[in-house]
Amino acid sequence: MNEFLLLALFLIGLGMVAIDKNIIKKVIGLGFMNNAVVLLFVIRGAGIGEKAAILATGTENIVDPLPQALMLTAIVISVCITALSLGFAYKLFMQFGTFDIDEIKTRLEHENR
Amino acid sequence: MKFREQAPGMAACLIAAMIMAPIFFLKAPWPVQLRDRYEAHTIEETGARNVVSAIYLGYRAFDTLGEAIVLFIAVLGTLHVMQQSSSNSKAELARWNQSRNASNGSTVRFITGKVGPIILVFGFYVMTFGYSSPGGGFQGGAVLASGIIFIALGYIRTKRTALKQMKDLHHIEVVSFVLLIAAFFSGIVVGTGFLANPFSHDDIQPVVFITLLNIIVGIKVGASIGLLAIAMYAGDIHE
Repeated sequence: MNEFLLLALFLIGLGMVAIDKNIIKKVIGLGFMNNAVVLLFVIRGAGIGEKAAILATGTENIVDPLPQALMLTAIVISVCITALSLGFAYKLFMQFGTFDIDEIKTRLEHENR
Repeated sequence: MKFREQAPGMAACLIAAMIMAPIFFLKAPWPVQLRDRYEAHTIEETGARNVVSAIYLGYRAFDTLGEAIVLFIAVLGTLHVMQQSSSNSKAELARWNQSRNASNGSTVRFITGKVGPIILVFGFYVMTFGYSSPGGGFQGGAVLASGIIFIALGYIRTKRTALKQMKDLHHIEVVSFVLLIAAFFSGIVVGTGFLANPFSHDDIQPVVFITLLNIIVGIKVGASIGLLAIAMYAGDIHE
């Protein structure tokens, strides 16, 4: 069940990136895809063990801490990606006054002619 | 017409679904050997009770170094992109100041001034106790960044204050980045090796190194994300 939901989340994100015309919605789609992958890693790593990965005395049967540690960095990288792409979107908006990629394309062709 | 425009994107989604489905529905058992090793040896090797922070600051510190470099480059790139965006006339500046003054009223300033410092203290708590409780550098840094954004919402009323705050944050970020690299190289000076823990069990507990790195990473992440958010808030950032 979890995997179905995560695959659906990933595909919604990919669909937003591939189909939607609005740049801001594309950036949101990138965030969706990243969140789906992060959640998948954490859920798969938690498949073994039951306790959180904090070793008090006598703690046994912890979940695998490695996917969690890797996903920590992935989350920060996703913030970087979002910020950089929003910066480019802002620049495009300043240049063309719109977030619609079709309109930007027609204006570019119009300028080049 | 509408469908014809969307068809390639939908086809891409379908293909991606077929490629990704085996990865998402993998039934292979997750390997337990590494988990068992961490469970048995983490405390004696690094001194940290929180295995996750022991991994990203001890066993896989190289990962954290790469992440810090990526974050630094992303901040530089974003600032560079935002800087070139438009010209900055006097009328534009006045309009900016007026719009920001209208958007944050006295209520927002009052609340952010009271709650912001508490969020900052909580961020430092999450960083300092990251070795033995849920939390650590990255999480504390994110809390710190939200505190910085919170304070900036009430504090930034003119473009000049925004630019000054961004400059300060950038200095903090650069200094913490240099400190991080120095901490990673300190193992070479002592003789334990690159990225290794310079403190042995004899004089200083090795967990001191983890806590130190947690605080440095937290300040760096907090300053970077706060800087990015304020750059977005301030719009075009010509001096």
